[in-house]
Amino acid sequence: MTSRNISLLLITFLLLAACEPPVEDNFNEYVFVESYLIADRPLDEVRINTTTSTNEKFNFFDAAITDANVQIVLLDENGEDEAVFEYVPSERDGIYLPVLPPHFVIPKRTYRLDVDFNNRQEVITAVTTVPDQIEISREIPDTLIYQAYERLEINLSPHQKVHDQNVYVLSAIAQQPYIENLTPFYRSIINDDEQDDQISDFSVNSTGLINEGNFIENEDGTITFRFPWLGVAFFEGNLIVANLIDSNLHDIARSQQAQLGGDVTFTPGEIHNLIYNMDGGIGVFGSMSTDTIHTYFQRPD
Amino acid sequence: MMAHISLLEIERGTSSNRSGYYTLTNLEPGTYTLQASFIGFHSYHAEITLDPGENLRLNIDLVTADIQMDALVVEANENLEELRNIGMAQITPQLIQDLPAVIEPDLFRSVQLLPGVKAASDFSSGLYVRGGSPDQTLILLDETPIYNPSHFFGFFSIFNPDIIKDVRLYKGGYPAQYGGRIGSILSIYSKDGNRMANQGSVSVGLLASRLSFEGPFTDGSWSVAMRRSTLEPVLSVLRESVSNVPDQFFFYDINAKLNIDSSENNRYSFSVYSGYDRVSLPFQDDAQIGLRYGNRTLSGQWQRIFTDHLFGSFSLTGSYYFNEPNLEIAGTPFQRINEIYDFSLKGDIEYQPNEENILSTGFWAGSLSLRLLDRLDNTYTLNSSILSQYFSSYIQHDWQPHRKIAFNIGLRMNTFSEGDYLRLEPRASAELRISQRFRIQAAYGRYNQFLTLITNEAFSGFDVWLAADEGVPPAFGDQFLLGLKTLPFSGYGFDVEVYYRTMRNLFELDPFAGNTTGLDYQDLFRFGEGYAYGAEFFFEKQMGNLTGFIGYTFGITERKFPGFNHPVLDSPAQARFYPPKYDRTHDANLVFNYLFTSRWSIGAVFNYSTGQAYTEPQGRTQLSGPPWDRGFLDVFIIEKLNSSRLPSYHRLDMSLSRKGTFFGIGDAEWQLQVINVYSRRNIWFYNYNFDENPVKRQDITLLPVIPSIAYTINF
Repeated sequence: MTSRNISLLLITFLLLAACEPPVEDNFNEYVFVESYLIADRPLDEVRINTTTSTNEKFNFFDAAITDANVQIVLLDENGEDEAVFEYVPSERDGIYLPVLPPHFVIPKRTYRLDVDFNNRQEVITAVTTVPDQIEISREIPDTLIYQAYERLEINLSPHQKVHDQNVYVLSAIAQQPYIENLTPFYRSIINDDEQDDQISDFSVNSTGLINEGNFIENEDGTITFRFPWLGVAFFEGNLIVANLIDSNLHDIARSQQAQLGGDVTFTPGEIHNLIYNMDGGIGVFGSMSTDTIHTYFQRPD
Repeated sequence: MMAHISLLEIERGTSSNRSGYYTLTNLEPGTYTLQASFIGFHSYHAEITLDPGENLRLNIDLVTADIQMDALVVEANENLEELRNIGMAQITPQLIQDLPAVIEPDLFRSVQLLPGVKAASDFSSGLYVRGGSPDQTLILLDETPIYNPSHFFGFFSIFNPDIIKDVRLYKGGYPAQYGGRIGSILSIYSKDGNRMANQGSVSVGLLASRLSFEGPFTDGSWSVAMRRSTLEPVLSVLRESVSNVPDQFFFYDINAKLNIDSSENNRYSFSVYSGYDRVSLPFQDDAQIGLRYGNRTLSGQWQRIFTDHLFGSFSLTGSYYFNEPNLEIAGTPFQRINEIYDFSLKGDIEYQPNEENILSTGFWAGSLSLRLLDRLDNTYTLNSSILSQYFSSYIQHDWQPHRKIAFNIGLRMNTFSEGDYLRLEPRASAELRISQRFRIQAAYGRYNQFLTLITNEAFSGFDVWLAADEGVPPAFGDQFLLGLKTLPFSGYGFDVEVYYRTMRNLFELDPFAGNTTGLDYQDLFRFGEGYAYGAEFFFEKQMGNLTGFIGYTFGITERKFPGFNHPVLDSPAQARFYPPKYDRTHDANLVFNYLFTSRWSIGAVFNYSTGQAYTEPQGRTQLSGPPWDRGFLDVFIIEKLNSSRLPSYHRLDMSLSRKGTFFGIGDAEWQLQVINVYSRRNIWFYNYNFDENPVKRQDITLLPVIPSIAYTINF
């Protein structure tokens, strides 16, 4: 091979190197549906909107779909329709409310959401099975000293498993969410420019997803979870809420955490879609059961 | 080392094996000129005379090219050409020292310049070889596996440039003698130490400094090298004006090696490595993050010449890796303990009955213990412990029926006790030697891998290894290679290789696994597949005042995992292939070093590559709930994963060196370096500020221009 040939070869490949692959992505509009069922509570609203381009400002009411036909269907053991609950548009665009009388969501039963449109092609369905109702033992201390040895222990009464595994979320809802009541860590991360918004965010402070494996199983069938101090954003009175969520909520929550960088195995710049469990559109039709207690976190001396 | 040995008059030659053992058989009586060469070393010439029936044993000590020797014995910078085997590349210790480098001369940064090897970013020394992720490259230091080869959380590698004797990268298609990964093998051998005289070197850099000693020992030699970061003064100054400065932030490593030539036929060597990284950082009020990780290795090797035709090498190795991050926020601690203990015994036997045949066999048996413990708030959330015995053996036949044709055929068997896996790996390669300067090579091989790495391209400090087990079968893949190796002119080399490889049953931690507490082991993983293909071109000038190379790679690599990158409205069970971030279609490197005078030299490295793949979110919406939370949660819609490309990457680094003496005590060298000479603000990734409406995109850039200076004394 002559030096001229080698030079030509190298020049050819350097020219090749100047060619870059084109960008292939385009925005496509999808219908997004959101609805949650809570055991032993009345059916709640269904929200329907379209997605918008990330280059545009998003506003739910601008993106709302107002001509949807919505119903939630209670299914029997064979998956057949047992009862149909119609929805009608509310005064607020894109938000649909159930027709009265109210239906109280039945634990351990399966519901289907049906949505179609007068002026769109999409037909959207999703199914959720409501978790068993849970109950928190009321035998907890009235007052706990923040970061003391004695911890808040959540005891849940025995309940059935209707999904592959029970997944919980615990929240602390501050009853006096004032800046002077913030615990030291949360006080230090408050940005003065966004103080009000951040205090509002911290006023409901959730643990994230907790598997049943995180609980201690007791001989009487109850399970116990030690509430982490990190979950306490405010001193003084707090409502402690335990939620048992279905697999749809579990999927949407874990994938939403990962999408915004909550998983360290994703490389920077790699963004994944959420897990929707919905046919014909995207969104979430999830269910959960919940219970609430009250306690007081006292400042340490 | 694997040097090339030839008899010039009759154009007969061979290569020494990894232990330096070589045999030339069936020689006619007479006088010959024997030449031994190895890149980075002075070529050795000697006249030998063979009497009828005589068996001659000739031990050759090659001398590194930076040491001046008697011209009668050594012809410096001459005939260093060596045609490489398929899939193989090498880096000389001198190149590592000469290249401009951030903080420290670095082996991995040098390896990343080779065709087929890519870097994830300026901040990562991880090796991405022929479309494979870093865990697909087995890294061996003196035959001992290294599980986290990085300091400073991936910024550069753990291999002190002062201790490196030989570096071999088997990019693919490697023979049955090697195994353990489905991609490549990087084998590093540490220096034996000077057998003639005591010597040492000191190198003082702005951020790290090195000290090394070596010398003769009774019937052998020894070497010790130490390196430590010297960031403390910088951190101390920073603490005066900046908050959140680490309490502790350092690394060190120590290498030591002892060689004993107990007899003419027996040689023993022992080597030790210890490396440690530590950072501790308080942040905000009532919060602290810490990380300690490192590797310890120990190896002993016995090399035995049984007869003139039978050679053996046996190693006992131990490798320990630990990684212990901890975080405590508001009285809630999180701790992780990840430990690997890997103890093994290796043996290789090579039998060369005649010049046409070499038969090799060997084994690698060991015990691998992996432990991964996660504790949140003093409660175990993950407790995985695997103890597995592994055993590999191989048989390999190098057959050269004609001086222009050579074959290598082999079979490797692997077993892994966790899951009771038995895997066979056929390997084959062929070489057609058109002339002394022109070879065509082809290779095929199947490879298995029983380990997977949980890592992040941006930050390797938290690297965690997990292993195959019941329900988690090993990954495997096939590799096909075709190569053309030429020496177009004296002192020049030009190689072309094309490759295609598959990656099947890739098992990785499921990024959507969320809380892993209570999950079955197999539920931690996602299983997928991938492929890679490409062409590599390597043009090298090996001698003269101007030395260096141009490398170019065209490469494609893609992967897919069910549940990921499926069309938005389709079943999550579907999946489409997507390029990982490190995929770069075009990658070109220009590396040169020019010696102006015996004292002054200038070096430069220029890299150009296609921008990395990234995901551009196309659509957005919001969740008004979920009911347990307050406020809206942003949701983004992706059409295709990693289908967009960052702007092209290019960077020029330069160095200027001046050699001299240090008050007559020894040689000294000043090195002035400038990284990213024209301060190209290459993009690392885009950060999307989803709190803004519409979404705002921010460029996160890589290294700016960085000047540095280092001073080295050799005594």
